Amino acid sequence: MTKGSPWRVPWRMPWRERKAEKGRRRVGPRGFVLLCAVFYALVIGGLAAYKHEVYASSRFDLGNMDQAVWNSSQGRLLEATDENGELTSRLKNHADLLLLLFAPLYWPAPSPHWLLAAQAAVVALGTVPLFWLARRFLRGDSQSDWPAALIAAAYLFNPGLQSANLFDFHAQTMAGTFLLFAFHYLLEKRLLAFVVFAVLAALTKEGIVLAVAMMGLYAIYPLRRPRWGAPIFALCVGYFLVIVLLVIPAFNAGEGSLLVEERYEAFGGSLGGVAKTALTDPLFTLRFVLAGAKSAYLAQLAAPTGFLALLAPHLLAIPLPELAVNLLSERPQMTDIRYHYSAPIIPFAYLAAAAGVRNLLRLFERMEGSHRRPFSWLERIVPGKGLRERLPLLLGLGMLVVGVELDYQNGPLPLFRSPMNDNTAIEPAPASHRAALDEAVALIPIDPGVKVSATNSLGPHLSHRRYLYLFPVIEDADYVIVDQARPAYDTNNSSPVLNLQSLQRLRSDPRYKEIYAENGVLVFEKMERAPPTSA
Amino acid sequence: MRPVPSIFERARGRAQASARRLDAALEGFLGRRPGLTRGGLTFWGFLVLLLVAVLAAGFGAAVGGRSVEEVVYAARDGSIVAVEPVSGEALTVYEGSASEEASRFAFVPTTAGGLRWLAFSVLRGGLEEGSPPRADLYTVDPVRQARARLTGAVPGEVFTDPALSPARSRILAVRHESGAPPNVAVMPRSGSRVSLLEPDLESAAPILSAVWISDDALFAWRASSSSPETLSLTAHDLGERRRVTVYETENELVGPLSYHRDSNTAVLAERPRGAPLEKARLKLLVGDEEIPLAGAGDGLGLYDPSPPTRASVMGLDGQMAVLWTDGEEEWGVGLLDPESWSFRKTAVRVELESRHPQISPDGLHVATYDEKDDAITVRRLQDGGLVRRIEGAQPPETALARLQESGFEVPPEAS
Repeated sequence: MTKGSPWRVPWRMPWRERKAEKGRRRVGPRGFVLLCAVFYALVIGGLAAYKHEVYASSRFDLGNMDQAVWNSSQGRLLEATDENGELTSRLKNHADLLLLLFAPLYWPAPSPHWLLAAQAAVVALGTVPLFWLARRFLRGDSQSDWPAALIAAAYLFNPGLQSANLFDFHAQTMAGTFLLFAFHYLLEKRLLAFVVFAVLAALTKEGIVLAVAMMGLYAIYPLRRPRWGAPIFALCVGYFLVIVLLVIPAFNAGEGSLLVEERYEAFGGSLGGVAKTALTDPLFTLRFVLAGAKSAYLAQLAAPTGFLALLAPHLLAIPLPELAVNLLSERPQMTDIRYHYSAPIIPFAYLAAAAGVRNLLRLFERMEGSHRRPFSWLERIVPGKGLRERLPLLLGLGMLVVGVELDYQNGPLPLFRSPMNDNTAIEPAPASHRAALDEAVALIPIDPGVKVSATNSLGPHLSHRRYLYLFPVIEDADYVIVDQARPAYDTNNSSPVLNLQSLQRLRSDPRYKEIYAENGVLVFEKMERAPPTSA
Repeated sequence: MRPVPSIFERARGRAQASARRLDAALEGFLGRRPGLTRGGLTFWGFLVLLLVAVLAAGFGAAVGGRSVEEVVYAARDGSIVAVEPVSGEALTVYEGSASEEASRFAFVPTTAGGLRWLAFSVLRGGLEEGSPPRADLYTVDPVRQARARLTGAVPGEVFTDPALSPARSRILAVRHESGAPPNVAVMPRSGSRVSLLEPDLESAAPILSAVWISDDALFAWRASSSSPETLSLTAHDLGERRRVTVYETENELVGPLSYHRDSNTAVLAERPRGAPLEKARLKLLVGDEEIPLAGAGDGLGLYDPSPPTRASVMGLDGQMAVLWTDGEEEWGVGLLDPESWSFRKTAVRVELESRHPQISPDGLHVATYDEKDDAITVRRLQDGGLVRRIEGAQPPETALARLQESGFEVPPEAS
């Protein structure tokens, strides 16, 4: 390296040396991965913030997460108002204890932007361990650097990952990164670092700990480190059972989570029911998980890797519990890669693809060893180093190209073709409507003791208070704020009619007075308000 | 007694050794037979290629199948025809009858294709005394060219204006019965369990038409029982049996109501009774709130909002075609964006008093119905160039007129 600024090549240097020096200073695979990660974090983080500012984020699931973190920062750990208007703990349904780590950030500046920025940054950071791991599973030499970098970059173009990242905030979306780091440190035999990231992953949601448990099994075989693997497996399964059988029922009056009951109704609506059906009626279970859209879901997971992930099933086994959780559920979003439910699985598909490329190479090597040259006609087309040497690079590049194309066709980015209008899409309201929304929100006192009922898209802008009802639940709200253009939690069901009826009743309710009506945005104030309760 | 880990260790060792032996045997077998290996590999390669080709062909057929950009309409003889506007290739979805005596009339939305599933009904009988008309409901999958009859209407029972719900799980249709006011019938796509929107309608106001909000909710236009000239728009929740009035008018409606789900915007056109089309104006309802339409200007007649385009149409996400006229010389097609509540004219100019615009699923063409010549014209949306003119379409009011002739109660607002 020459002296002085690292970016300047001295003019006196001979031409050949100058060219070689410039070549050395070009961005290498590591730099490329970091560049992609920074670019992703800035773009997706910026879009997530923009989406929130244009009222395209939702009460469920940004407002409720923000409210839980804000409440935690005020000493009420993980408390939030649920859909029925009751004060509950997040632990009633999920153990996403990672939210507590954000509470200190809310002391100086309470804002949901902390959550959105952190989510984009952590997901982007996932490319780093993915690069390390892909390099290791490819061959581990310098020839594997660029293919691994391309696979890591392709991961960031996964339309499902981007959509999940832009659908409000879920700690689970960050689990993939923590799991990759944990797996990397497990393979590196750095126990402390593994434990740190395994704990972070486990804190994102109760089911994620089972992926760490699978890493325990991986440590037993093929790593042959049962002294690590057995305790990891036992501790993870134990944690999961404690959360599901003791902690969550403790917040549900001794019963299981209602979400589990709804989503796994076909299996008896409980963890025991799922286990019993899987054991006693495996054919039913198999038919259930492969029926209709669920097969398409499996294809959605594997297709961005050119199905190469299927060549390394031992790595796909790590997120298998999470995959089972999704496939056994009746909630359609859980078998749609655009939602957070798939975010912990997607990175392992890319990792398995890298290992799949290596397995493909091994096959070729063995065939060459026995003097059979498969695809020798292809080698005539790709001269020089030969196909085998270039195959990882070509496949890595192919995965990146496929990723960009799939992202263009199905991704949520504004300049890309975004065919679906759903929670992941960024659809700003017209300027006049946004101005009306701004004015209406400004009418609601910031006082956290003031109780508010708001429609889904307005909720995340008013969530720093104990009582935030989801309209049409009004209860004892001091203010009711309604955006008629986005009235419902989910417009796929009939709640627009219910909301209309509730609105008409509110208009005739003598206790409330309409104080704002512009562009389909309405604000009602309770006439005789009780003094605000202390927050 | 052997310790348990030792047993596992031995079993694992044996399993691995067996796998290695099997692998070596296979390797040796293939090595001794290079011809078989090469042939097997070639066969496998071709098989994979064939599989990929078959899948690609199947996918291409499903995506670009013959129904995708077609104009579907009812012909004068009662046939239902799908025409590909660029090539002119036609497919008869339902065969009518050349004999006037047995003439059948079809209720089908004139639509610029895009419907993987289409619902229609066919009116039979009613020409002779003692043979009351009846109209069955059909669905058709134009891609697979598969047709199914959903209901077997009894004589005197007529289903008209069928429409599939957004997720295609249900069908609604207006049900006419001699001696009773029209009602709306809702049924699953299989056709079983027909239920009426208002089971006890006898003494109440007739329900004239309906439009889906979601698979479990719909808007319905009802005539007022007290003031026959007042129409009210009601929203119904089918699951919870809720009903709420959204809008009332004494004006005459011009074209159907169009609902855009993502912005919760309902668009309707109305004019004073008996007034010409240039007096027609659009109303935008967000919930029950009226929103002003930007970009339309004063004095422009706007009517016949089309169903919203699909979200996947680049640049037209959810937009509706609307006919406009200055009342003097120009008649054309405009686009209404329900997301921004704004209107703009396109380059498409149409025949005087054209009706029923429909945008093709790819967003390239727009079809309109020329009332004067009973023809459908298809034009390019970008520059207004004529692509095809389809003659011999059945006027939309024909079948309702036949019903009136047969003594059915058909309120004038129903047409």
